[in-house]
Amino acid sequence: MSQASFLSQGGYAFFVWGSYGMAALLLVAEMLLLRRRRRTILFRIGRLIRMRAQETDHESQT
Amino acid sequence: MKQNWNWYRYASPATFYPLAGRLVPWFAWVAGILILVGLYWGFFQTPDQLGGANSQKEYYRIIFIHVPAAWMSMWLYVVVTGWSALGLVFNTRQSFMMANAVAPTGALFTFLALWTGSFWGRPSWGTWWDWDPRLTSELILLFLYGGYLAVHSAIDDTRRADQAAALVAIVGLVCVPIIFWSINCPDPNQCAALHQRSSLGRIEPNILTAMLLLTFGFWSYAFATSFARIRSIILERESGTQWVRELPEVHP
Repeated sequence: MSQASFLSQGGYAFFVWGSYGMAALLLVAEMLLLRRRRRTILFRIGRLIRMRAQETDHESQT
Repeated sequence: MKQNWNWYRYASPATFYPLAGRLVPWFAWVAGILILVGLYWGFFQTPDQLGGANSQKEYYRIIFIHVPAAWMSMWLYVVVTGWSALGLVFNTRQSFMMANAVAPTGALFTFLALWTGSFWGRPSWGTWWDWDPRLTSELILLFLYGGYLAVHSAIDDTRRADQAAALVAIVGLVCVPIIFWSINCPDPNQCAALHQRSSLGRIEPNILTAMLLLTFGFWSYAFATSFARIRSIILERESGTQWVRELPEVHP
């Protein structure tokens, strides 16, 4: 099968690739969102720890 | 040390968090391989056109994502309901977290089943959408996923959010057999559906192979995303605990 006939899918390229394209888009988007969610919560916890460390430093100085 | 090894051990977020982390890459790899092999099989080992009573041209290849996505949409809803029910009965926090981790991926597959169905319906039926029983009940399933997630995020108190959303999931379970029977009813004359009946037994073996490869690929993908998501959920809910503060990844 030639590359052109593979891409055209017998003239139904819009329907076939419209379906597969949406599938690829959604799966990739979900993985990116999952990575962002993990980074966000790790950053927040890290900041929480630093804030607590500063508070205890401050208390020991006064 | 027999009592150290039991399943209840993993009902604690502190022990489940690292286990889920080890499982994510395995499921992701299996998913990637199954999906790639399934796509190869679907595009290069299948006939371009189907003859017979239900003749179809190249657009039938949408089946390789349409059917696996539709199966996952229903199966993952059953999984969400199962964990929700366990959470309500045994009052286990982690069951609710499981339900919460699975639901977004289930909603994704429901949307994908509707979208690909629409792109299949246009060339084969001549319409993007019809208020046919199968299509309508699948759309309601999407709303149920949306309702579950919306109720959960609308309630500030996590415990109450878990319980209320679990109830939504359980009530909505009635939709799953309706979707199934909407085309698989015993008397074909009672199925007033545009959507074709399921005919797994008479399907061409190569088409079935690609469909099953994609199904198990999507299932493995759902495991990977659910485990990845529950790790974030655990961190969000346990952010004040000692074990989370001692994790190496929170000390960059």
